[in-house]
Amino acid sequence: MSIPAAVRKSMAGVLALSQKALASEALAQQPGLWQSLHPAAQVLVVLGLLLAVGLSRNLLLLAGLGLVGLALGWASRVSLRLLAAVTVGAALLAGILALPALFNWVRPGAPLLFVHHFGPPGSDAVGLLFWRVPAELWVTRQGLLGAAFLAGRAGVSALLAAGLVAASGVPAFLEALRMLRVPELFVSVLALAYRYIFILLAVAQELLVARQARTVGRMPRKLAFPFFFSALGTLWLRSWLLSEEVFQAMLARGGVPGQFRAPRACAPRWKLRDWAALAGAVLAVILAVAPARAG
Amino acid sequence: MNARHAVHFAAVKAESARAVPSCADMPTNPAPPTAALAPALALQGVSYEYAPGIPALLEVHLEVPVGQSLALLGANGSGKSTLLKILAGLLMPTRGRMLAWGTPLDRRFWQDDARASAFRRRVGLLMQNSDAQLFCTTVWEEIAFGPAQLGLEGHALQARVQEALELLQIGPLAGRSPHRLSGGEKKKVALAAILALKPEILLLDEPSTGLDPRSQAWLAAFLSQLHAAGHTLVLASHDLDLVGKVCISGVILGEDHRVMASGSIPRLLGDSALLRQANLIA
Ligand SMILES: Nc1ncnc2c1ncn2[C@@H]1O[C@H](COP(=O)(O)OP(=O)(O)O)[C@@H](O)[C@H]1O
Ligand SMILES: [Mg+2]
Repeated sequence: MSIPAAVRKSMAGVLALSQKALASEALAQQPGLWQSLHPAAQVLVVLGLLLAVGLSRNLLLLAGLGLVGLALGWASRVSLRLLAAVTVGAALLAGILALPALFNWVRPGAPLLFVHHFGPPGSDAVGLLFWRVPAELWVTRQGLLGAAFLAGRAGVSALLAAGLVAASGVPAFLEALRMLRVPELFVSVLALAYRYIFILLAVAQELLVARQARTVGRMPRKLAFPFFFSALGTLWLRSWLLSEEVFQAMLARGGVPGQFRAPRACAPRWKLRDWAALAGAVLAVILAVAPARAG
Repeated sequence: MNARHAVHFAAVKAESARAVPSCADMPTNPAPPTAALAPALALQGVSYEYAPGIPALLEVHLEVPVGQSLALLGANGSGKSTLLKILAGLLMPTRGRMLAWGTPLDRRFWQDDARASAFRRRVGLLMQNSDAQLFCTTVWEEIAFGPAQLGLEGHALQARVQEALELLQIGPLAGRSPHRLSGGEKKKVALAAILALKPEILLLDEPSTGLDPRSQAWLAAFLSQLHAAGHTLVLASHDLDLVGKVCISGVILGEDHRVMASGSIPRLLGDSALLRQANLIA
């Protein structure tokens, strides 16, 4: 199991990309729509929009929310390429998961696209492993609509969430959770995870580079596997040693174990635009629920 | 080793809980009235072992008078970082004892969280590894962490952080993630985070490693200023240039983890045979 160059390269690429994607602080310093909102308003607005996406029974509304997501990202100087990649990726993933439900064998429904007739002509059912299924296989209208909704919802949700995180950064998001009185236990676990992702990414990248620098040509088959496990071990050991020092650093600054306190600044005031944005999100939720009631 | 595991994990769990909000009754001055005469910190026959039978420090006697600027010289692995962590109250000596302003810091002392925390606030430690020292998500939070443990909040906290940001001239970094800064910037943030607690004693672990020449010059001037302003300094380093600029007296740790020599800095730095023996010059 030697690691092919292409895999190695893409591993390094993924590591670099995830570091870049997480490190959105450069954007957070710049003026933009998301950045100009109160941190708590940012989170509430995006939660409202996500709720609207989840509740929408109407593809047109979903498309509209997608446009809102794009506009928000654009007005916050987020790279549209990043947004497109995230949206398409999430939609594809959800679409693949929904694939089986397209067909009448999994989910009965009105025929839309005939695929194949199995078994002898005239038969209306065939055996498939342990089941008996209709002889005719087709794509159903309900199935296609369902898959479209699923993919659309996943894509638009990812678009909205990625836009906010890319614009404001994870630290602002964590701060907002604190302002919204989310339990500190939950917030500090997220904060620790965020910190460790960075450290792990940096250490992993370092190991990869060190390993490349030391091997000339391809690594012999026999060595590649042990290398993989020893690298994992090193990764764990290094992050563990570091975490012990981190704990010492907290103590050194007067922390009492069990009572570490998160620093609280004065929260900024809510401005008119924060309320306006929140009203917009509430409107989206109402729009998403309204037709369901009317119909 | 197992005990250390246990302590660590208990602490991480506890940290997430952050429940009991009572730090206000913390004593600010744990030292008895006779403190003025006693050295700020003293070690008496201190040894330390990370693993049984493998010493990192052996029978160290050391006194740090109030207002001193002491250099801790020694080659890599001689035990400088371990010694500083003991002085900072983060590691307990395996043998021997430690005194702070005349008070013995025994097991009972460390079991009292409030007293331990009050002591650590008066003694700031700049760690060798900035990545471990900086654990918050923004520079602002990083500097605010210490004062927040004192119970500072809102405007008072903001003023305290602002003061430290200005002292180190790192105002523009406030919103950034500490672990994405340059080596020099990280050191400044770590210093600001410690100075925000207004400690009396500063323990500095190889502060000049990884700094470019201009940052090194800045650091030497900054530390000299702190000393002139009345801070007690203990500076671990093998950067003889920095030590020569900042410190008055020094202690040399040998590669056998024992104190090899001590005296005034001009005398120590003038003895090239001694420096060679301590692996401080080639
Ligand atoms: N966390 C640790 N676990 C085990 N051994 C350690 C640890 N930290 C340091 N040591 C060992 O203790 C000795 C002294 O290390 P240290 O105090 O870091 O020296 P210095 O700071 O002078 O380079 C070294 O032999 C080192 O390998
Ligand atoms: Mg060291």
